[in-house]
Amino acid sequence: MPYRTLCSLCVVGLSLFVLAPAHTLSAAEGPTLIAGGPLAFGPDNVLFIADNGAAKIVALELGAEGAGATPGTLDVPGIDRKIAALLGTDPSEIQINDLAVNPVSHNAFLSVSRGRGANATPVLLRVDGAGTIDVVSLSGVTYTELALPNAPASNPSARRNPRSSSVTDMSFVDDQLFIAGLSSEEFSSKLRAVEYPFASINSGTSVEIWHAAHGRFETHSPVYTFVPYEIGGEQNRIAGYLCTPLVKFPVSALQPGAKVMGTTIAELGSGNRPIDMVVYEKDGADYLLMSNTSHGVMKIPTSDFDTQPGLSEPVGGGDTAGVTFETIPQLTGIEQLDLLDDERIVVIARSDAGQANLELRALP
Amino acid sequence: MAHASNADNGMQVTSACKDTRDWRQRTGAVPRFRPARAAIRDVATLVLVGVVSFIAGCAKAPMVDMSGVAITLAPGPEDADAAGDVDTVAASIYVTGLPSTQVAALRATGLTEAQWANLLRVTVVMEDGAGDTDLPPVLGSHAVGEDDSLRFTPLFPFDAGRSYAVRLDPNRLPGHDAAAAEAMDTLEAMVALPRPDIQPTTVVERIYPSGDRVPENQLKLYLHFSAPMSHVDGLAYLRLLDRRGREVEAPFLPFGLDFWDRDHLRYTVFFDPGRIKQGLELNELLGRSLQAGETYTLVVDPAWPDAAGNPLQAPFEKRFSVGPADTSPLDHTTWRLRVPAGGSTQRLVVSFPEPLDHALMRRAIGVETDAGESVPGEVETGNWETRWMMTPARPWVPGAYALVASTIVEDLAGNQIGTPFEISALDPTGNAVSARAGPAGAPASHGTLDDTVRIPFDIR
Repeated sequence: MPYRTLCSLCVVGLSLFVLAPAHTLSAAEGPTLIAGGPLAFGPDNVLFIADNGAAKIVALELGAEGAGATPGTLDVPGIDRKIAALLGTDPSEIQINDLAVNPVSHNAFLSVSRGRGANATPVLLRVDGAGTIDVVSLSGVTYTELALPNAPASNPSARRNPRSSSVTDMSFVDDQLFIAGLSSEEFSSKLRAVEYPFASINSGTSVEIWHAAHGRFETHSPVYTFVPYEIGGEQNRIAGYLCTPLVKFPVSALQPGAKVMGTTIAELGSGNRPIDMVVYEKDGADYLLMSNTSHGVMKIPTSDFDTQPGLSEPVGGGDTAGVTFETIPQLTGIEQLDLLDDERIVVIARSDAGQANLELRALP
Repeated sequence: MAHASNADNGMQVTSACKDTRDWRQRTGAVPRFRPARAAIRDVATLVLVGVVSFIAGCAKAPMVDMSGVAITLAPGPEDADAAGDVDTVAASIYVTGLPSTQVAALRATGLTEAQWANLLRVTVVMEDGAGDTDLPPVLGSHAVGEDDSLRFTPLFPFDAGRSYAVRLDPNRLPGHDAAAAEAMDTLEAMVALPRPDIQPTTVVERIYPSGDRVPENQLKLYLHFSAPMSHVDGLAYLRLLDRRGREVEAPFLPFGLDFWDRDHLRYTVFFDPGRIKQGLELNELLGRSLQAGETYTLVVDPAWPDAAGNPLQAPFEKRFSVGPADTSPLDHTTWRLRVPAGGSTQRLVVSFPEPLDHALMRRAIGVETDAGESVPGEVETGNWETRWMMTPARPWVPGAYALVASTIVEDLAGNQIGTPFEISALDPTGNAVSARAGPAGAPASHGTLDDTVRIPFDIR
């Protein structure tokens, strides 16, 4: 029988990782960003933005910048062209790196790069309930920074400042910011956790995860997106890996020095990169909604997350296995996704003609 | 249509009017830059290319004398930074020649940004030429200069070579009663900063592995460029050809935007692990990207843009042959050390029985004293990454040392110290793998950051 699935179980290795001390700043000129990446909202109007150019996380206390003139978010057709027009460039020079909805104002925030070359500039944008796009002014915003640790280096002279990793996703829960990243040198993942406010702690936890294939093979794989989710009364992280195992592991086990066994609860297909995940409740049941580069948007009931045994056997006749899911045919071309409220999501959807649209969609 | 050149201050103007008359007959000659500004700016670097036209009703009698009005794109005269570095000053759009009474009214009124945008509106011209009429204007600030010019400074600097449409609507000037007076013509101009001459200079300097033979399950390639590259998915510029020149189908991990180093000088290409790993669907369907016994050529398209937007100076090719798959973990006990003499600055040379991953061997191998202190030095790799060499920053002090290597060090196929890229061991439950398949004494965990192996040696 041909082996068609990617993985069975995950093993989570764990070690203490010392993060550089945080800096609390309230400079009139605001923070300096080199390359704005993933976004995540924390408590009290705090927006975390990963700067993959400077290997740091910046926590922005948005204050008045957290809300535009109108609460909520409204559809913006052709948002890539409109952003390009506002920023004075061509849509080909605009890259939307992430989307996050402010849980207070319900405005959508976009982490955007203007330009792709030496003059590339990170821009933070806000879309409000009237569809107005504003550049979020970072001057005068109070912020704190957390430097991400250098890649491990046994030889301090070889590369004094190795920066080979970039943040792929962040999530804030229970006073902790979880940070997932990948490396251009190691085909693997790093998951870090750090308490916020940053100033109160300067160490975190580093997690390295890999997965096995059909009980015989195990290797590394980068994690691209993850969400916190409680399973059987226990806080877990549900992580989406490249090509595309879905993995759970309990947060309580993530202690420095511990070795944690993660469990692959689904295999969702090859040739695919997960983009975003959100958890929502509908008609009394919880679902995971997961967008992908190749396999559309999947709606995955979480009811079996507790009981699904770790995949360990080869899967024939297809390249998916584990917990059941359905692909939502109405959600195509989804490049970014976040929850707006209990009933709707905000997405960046790319049309067949190549146009990026910011749209509100009902949760399936 | 008319063309004019004002070469003495480096400014070029091209003008056009949809009316049958030369627009200069109505608006007057293009004003020269003031000499003081020209003196402090290298105007030649910010040559103006403008196309000015009227859109309708050019024969109507204006209520405001617009005969001397001109729209130009120029460096800002007052915005030099504290150090006086004029090179950092963004270009602005200037409207000159407005009647002084109108300028005074503008100063006294203090328009809102929305009113300013209606009076002096700047929009970007999209590369696809689509005429989006509902696109918003470029964000920026408007001001009235001491020299009576109106100025628009964009929030982000204008792109070189990109055209911007400027529209001045005199009906929006303060004090002008549009209802009582006949509507005036709207003045429109196209402006652009010149695109720098394209002189491609960036090249692919080298590719690792530097040898010409790789295993069938080669995991990745590193492309090193001579100058920073743009942030694009490099896979669009790479092709892998077999010995007959046929392109290999989908050889690489198809997500290539994330694998730049911070400086955009190095790009990592992963062969698709789904084709490398035995038993995976892609491996079953397509086999490995590389086949033992075959010869391949990696072709780098010179259209790959560098950070300045220029193509590469030349195409680049690397030819290599493929040997059998390497599925064995690295065994550091096979490494051989050539130990230098105490008091010298001779190199410590470590030889490996097979090539190692270039980035990881440079980063994750070092030397420590028996007290655990890192020994600084200059690291080189050689002999197609089968050799690691360190020249100490200071002469070797006789004593006990250790070569220290993180277990994340890999060979070309991603096999780490003590851990093969594909692990075949089973744990006691039969469904999870946590044990290493490596040599005895290897760390129990899998490549975590704290894991190292040590090879002691003495300097005498």
